[in-house]
Amino acid sequence: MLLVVTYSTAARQSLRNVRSLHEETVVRSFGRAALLAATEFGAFLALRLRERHGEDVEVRRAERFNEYRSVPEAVREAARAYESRESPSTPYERFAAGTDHPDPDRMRDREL
Amino acid sequence: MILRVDGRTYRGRAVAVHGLDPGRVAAAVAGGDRTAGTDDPASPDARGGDPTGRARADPTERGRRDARGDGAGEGRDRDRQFGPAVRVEAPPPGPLHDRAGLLAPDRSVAVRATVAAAARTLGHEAPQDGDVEAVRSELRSIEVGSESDDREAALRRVADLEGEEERFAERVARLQGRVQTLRDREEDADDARERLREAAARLSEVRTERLAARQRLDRIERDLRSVRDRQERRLELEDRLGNLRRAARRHLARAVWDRFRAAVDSVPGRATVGDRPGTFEGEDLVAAMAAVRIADLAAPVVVACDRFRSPAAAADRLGAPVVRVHLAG
Repeated sequence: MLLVVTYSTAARQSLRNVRSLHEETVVRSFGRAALLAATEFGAFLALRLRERHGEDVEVRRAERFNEYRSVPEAVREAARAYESRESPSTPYERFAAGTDHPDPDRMRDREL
Repeated sequence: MILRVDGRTYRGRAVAVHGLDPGRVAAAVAGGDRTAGTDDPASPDARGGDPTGRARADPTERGRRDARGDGAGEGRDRDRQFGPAVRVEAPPPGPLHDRAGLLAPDRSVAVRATVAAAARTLGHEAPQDGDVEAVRSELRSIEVGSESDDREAALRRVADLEGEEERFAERVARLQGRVQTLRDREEDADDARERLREAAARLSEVRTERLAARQRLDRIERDLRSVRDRQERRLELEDRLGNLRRAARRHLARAVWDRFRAAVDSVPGRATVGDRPGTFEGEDLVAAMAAVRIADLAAPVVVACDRFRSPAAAADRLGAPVVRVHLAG
C-alpha cells in the first residue's frame, strides 16, 4: 500500500477530497494521512497530490508486516513475556537483565 | 464621499452611478486604485493620504486590477474590456467591507462571521485576540526550509542502479547456465567462463554503487526530518489559529446578536432570526444589510440591488454612505 502523509492544511484538504471521491482506492484514512491501494491508480492519485502540493505531501510504501517472517523469535517472545509481566512498573531493561531476552540497545542497532 | 468616473464627479453620502461593474466600484472603495497612484504618475492619488498605507483586501481580484488609471494604451485596453476606471475618495473601509461591502442578491455571506465583523466596527474585542496575535506571530517566524532537489536526483539514481543491478544479475544467471550446459556437454567453456567472470565483476560494482546511493538517499531523508518537524508545527499552529478565530467570531456575534436581530426587522426582506447567535434563516442579502445597519461604517457600501426607493433611502436604512450601482441596460 501507499502511505500518503500531508504537511499543510491545503494538502490535508486535498487528501480528504481524494478520500470522498475515490473510496475504493483509499484503504484506510487517518485524517492527515491515508493508505492507498498500491495500484497504478493509487500511485496516480498520490503523484497528483505531490504535483499539486509539492513537499507538503510525502508518499511512502507500506507493506504487510509479517512478524513470523521478519522478526527473530527472541524479539517476539520478549514482547509477549514483557506484556504479561507481574509488576507493571518494571522497565524492560530491568525485566530483561539476567535473562535470555534481548537487550534493548542491541535491538535498536539491528535492522529487521 | 467623492466618486470619480469617466471625467464625472459625484459627491455626497448617497450617490448613484450607472453601467459600472459593482465589483469594480467596491474595489475602488477598498482602495484598489492605490496601485494606480504608484505606477501611473499622471493620475491623481484618490486615496488622499491614508496614513496607515495598509493594503486593503478587495472583494474582487479583478476589481483591483481594473481600477487603475488611464495610462497609455494598456489602460485604454482595460477600459474597453472592463469599463472606465473608478476612483473613490472616502475613509478607508474596515473589517465588515470584505464581507458586506457589496450588497447584491447573488452574494453569499457567512452570517456569524459577518455579524462578528460588524461587532468589530463597533469596537468589540474577543478574549482570543491576544492568542490569535501570538499564534500569527509565531507562524510568521517559521521558516520551514525545503526538500532539496537532491532527494529527487538521489531517488532517480537509486532507481537506475537497481534496474542495472537486476539486468546484470540476470546476465550472470544466464551465463552461469551456459557454462554449466557447456560443461555437461563436455565442450570448451573457457570463453563463456571469461564472460561470466566479467559479468560477475560488473554486477559487484553496480551493487556497491547501488548500496552507496541508497545510503545517500537515507542520509538526505534523515536531514529532511527537521523540515517535516517545522511543517508539522506550522500545521498545528494553523489549526489552532482557525479554532481561535472561530471562537472569537462566536464571542463577537453573541455580543451584538440582539441588535442584529432587531436590524433584520428594519431592512427590506424577511428572515427568521433565533435567540441563539448563528440561527439565521433567510436571504444572505438580508443578513448582510442588517450587519451593515448595526455597524459603524465610514466608508461607503456598494448597493447593487433593487430594494430601496433611492440611494438616500438606502443610506438612511443602512446607516452608512451608499454608492448605488445601477447595472447597464
